[in-house]
Amino acid sequence: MIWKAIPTLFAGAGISLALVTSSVAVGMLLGVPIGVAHVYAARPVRAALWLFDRIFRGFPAIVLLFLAFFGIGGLPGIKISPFAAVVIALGLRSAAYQAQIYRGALEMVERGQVDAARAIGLSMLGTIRHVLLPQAARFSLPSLSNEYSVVLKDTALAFTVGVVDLMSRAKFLAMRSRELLTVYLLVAVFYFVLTHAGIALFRLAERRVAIPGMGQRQGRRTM
Amino acid sequence: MKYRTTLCLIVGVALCLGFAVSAEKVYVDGIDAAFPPFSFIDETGDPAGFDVDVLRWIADEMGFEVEIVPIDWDAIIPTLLSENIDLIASGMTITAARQERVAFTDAYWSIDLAVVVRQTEDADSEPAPELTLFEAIRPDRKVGVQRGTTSQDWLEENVIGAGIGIELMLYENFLLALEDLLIGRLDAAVMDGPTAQSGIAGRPLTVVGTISTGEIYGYAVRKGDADLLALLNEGLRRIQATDTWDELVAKWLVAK
Repeated sequence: MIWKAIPTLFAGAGISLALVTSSVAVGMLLGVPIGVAHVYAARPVRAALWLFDRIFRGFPAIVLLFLAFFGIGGLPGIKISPFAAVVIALGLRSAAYQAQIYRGALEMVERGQVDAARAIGLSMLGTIRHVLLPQAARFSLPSLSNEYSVVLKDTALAFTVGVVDLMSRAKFLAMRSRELLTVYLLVAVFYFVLTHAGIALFRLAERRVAIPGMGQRQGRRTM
Repeated sequence: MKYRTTLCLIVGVALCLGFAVSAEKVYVDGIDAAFPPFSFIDETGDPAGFDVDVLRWIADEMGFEVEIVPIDWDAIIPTLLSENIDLIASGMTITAARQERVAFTDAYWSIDLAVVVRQTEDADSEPAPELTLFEAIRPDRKVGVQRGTTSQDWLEENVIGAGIGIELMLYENFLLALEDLLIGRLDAAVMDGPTAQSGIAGRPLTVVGTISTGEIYGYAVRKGDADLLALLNEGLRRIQATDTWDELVAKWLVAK
């Protein structure tokens, strides 16, 4: 019975993949400007972002999911799909974590780079865009593969708000077939493959943007 | 710069999947994905069960479309109230507490609760229940139920509420309770009668007694959704007058 049901697991894996890609992408789109703002923005902006950081790194993922689905969805006139609720909740959470990654990466760029850029007449914005971010991006890639891996596991909570992902497909199959151990081991393999395939892509990216001779073993296989 | 465009495309497409708007009016039915024989997801990933078959017949007869989706039982009423589903047709008992939050159709089935224990052999090597019903609800016995069900309510009110200190263990669904009963982590499990029959089939478990609550099942809709309620009531009235009803009852609800 289990082997016949494998297509349903693949369907679930597709949804989980869609969830993690969207959430990490949202996290990146928001995380980069927030990370930059953590370092360079005016005090009131940094204070507001400090609050954002505390909330979205302080609440468990499942609480954020419920707040997004029942909180936003409960507002008069607003209807939110389960998929969107998961992407918003996990995306904002990822943005908070990624902002810290980018903040750290930015702070790793030598002060001399900023001084030189300003000296040749680049504006602060220009400096950030042309000098700091390209270098910070390289520093942040290893941590990003971590973020992907974590968010992928968090998507396993998606069924609590109604998204039928890989984890819930596994649950249905386990209940139906009563072979709990076999099914959960099988689904562990699915998550394993999804996780390490994703990490391999980040590794590829690391190698592609590595600057030869800069740093130690940059882009070359250390793990 | 190409990275950014691709990134935006991916995000855009993915978000669109979530916000997809459907053109026609479809009623969405939320079900407990692991509540055989009333509602469950079968091995091909499709909804199946007595309530699923009946609802599909009613939708056909009354001229509306229905989409059946599995929902986490703990969140099913909030999901109904937040309008992400329109009805619940999933072996749901009509209770006073639930009536405060949702509206129910007319009752369509009645069940009692079953107490399940492990099966062992007696002196003549015949299969026999390990415990009697009253042994199963002695103080310090571990009894498992599905969270948010009338089994939980009954035990809390009539056993724990009466001062008998059983240890009530709550599970996400009753099948998990049965798994724990098999392993030995529970002494007994209590659940709806038909679902007990479905869960113990082919396993060394047996129903040692019935708690006659005579509870009744109904479909749940939002209060104020009078149109859908009328559609469903009329549909139930019609199907119960046909042979299809008897066929479905025989197919799903008669113990084999």
